[in-house]
Amino acid sequence: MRNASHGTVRNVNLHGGLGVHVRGVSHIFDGLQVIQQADLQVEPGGFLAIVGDSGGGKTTLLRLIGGLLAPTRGEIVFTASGEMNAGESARGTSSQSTQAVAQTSSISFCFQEGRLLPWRNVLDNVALPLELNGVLAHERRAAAREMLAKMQLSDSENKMPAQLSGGMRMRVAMARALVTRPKLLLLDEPFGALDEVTRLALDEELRQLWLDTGTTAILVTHSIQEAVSLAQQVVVMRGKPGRTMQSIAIDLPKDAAHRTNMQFVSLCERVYQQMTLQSKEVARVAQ
Amino acid sequence: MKKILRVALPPIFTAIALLVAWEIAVVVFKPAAYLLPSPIAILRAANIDSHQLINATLSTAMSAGLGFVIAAVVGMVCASVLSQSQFLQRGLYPLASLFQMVPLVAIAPLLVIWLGYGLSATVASAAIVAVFPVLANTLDGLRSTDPALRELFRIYNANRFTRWWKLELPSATPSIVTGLRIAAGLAVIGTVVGEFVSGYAGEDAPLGMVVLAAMRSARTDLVFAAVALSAAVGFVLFGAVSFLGWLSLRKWHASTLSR
Repeated sequence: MRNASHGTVRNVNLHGGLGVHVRGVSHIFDGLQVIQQADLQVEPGGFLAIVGDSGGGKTTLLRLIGGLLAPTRGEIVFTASGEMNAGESARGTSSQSTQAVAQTSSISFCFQEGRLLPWRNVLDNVALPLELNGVLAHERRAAAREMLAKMQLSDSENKMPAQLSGGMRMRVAMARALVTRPKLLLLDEPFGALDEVTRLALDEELRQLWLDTGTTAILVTHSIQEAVSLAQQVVVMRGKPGRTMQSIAIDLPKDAAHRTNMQFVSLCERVYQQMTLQSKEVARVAQ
Repeated sequence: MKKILRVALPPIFTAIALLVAWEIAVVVFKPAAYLLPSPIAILRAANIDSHQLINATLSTAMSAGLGFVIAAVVGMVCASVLSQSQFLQRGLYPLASLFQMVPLVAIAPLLVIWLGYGLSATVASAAIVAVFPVLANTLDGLRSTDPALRELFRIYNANRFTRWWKLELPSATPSIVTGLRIAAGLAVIGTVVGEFVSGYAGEDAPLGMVVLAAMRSARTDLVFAAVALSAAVGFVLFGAVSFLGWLSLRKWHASTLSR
């Protein structure tokens, strides 16, 4: 697999995300089909949101992309920046290629629960991925401090997770996900448990971080508004087993006021229509 | 400080009240001294035999402390090994539980046969009773590591040792502390039982032997003094373990945060 990232985490090219192509991926877990023929495509540095019902396979699809699960059928191919026409050479069998990428830490996850280690302070939580990658103590702390400074979290570096609010915990979890300078950031309902005001603030912060780092982002969310306001394209997953519907391109000016803009509302409406299709229509509209 | 007083004062007052009631009861009902000596008589006896009692206490504390440390290390190491393999767990853990069912008093003579009279047998006796709670609680703690955090370590490609050292062990600390606290009390019981069977008379005879000797000469006051001192050894060991546990959990665990 031709991938610009190899060797230590710090060598990862800051500017340039991974392109992700999911082709005809199905997943069967314990004899139950969870995902059927899912397709999606994100360009390097792009931002894609997956929305859909609970239990519709969104999280499973994200875990397949992240290499935590292996697809039963189909393939997931990654391309590095500038390799968009080199699809053939970048193609591997799905599970192998996902594993290979995950091992270079160029993929990061951010989960709804934050998953901070409660016995470690903020700084050591953020430094954890580097620590587990064998980065020396002073180097990983410097990198973690830099990330915390970027997110205006420096004042909290000695706090324990139990001392933080839900929103702060998620910001620390985001800092940890980004400290490895990932080329692909997978976000599983990261702000699902937060209040609306905090959520809006963190959405904006996430958008800014995505722009700054140039990473590719795939966000799984229940919120249509969140999906439309952050992503460049939205994919709806419907039915059981979950199928991906035709992707909806979002070409909105991403300024602070865009959530009240008419175009935003009509895009939300389109996503909503796909989400409320009757099941027989799902099969027809599915890619 | 205020917090400490609020926690410490009620039991201290209760203890003083009980001692006063006991003293009054002895003065009023005048039971025979070999049946129930008064607290003041016990203190007087302890004062007279203080040299012997101090040596005995140190000897018992030494056995209990050593037995406790061995139990703690063996228990945690065995639990860590068992936690890494379902196969070992299925094969060995039921045997370990069975081991717990064997009455210590019954195997103490075996310890004397194998290890001879003296310190080794009492230390072994303490370690044997104290090891199981450490093992069981540690294993329980290691196995209850949050699966979401395990997955996080999997994402970061942590190997088995790293996962144990940086995730499972810290996350098991509350359970380990619980096991160690139970073990602290049991270690003293194990020591005194061991001393009953394997103790030796003389200058540094341990508390178990003092109890036996005092009983045989109807020195009930000395029996009480020795019993109180063995309880004190247990209390100090328990207190030390609780303090260390509090130190390691104070910043993050709910048991220490919410107070």
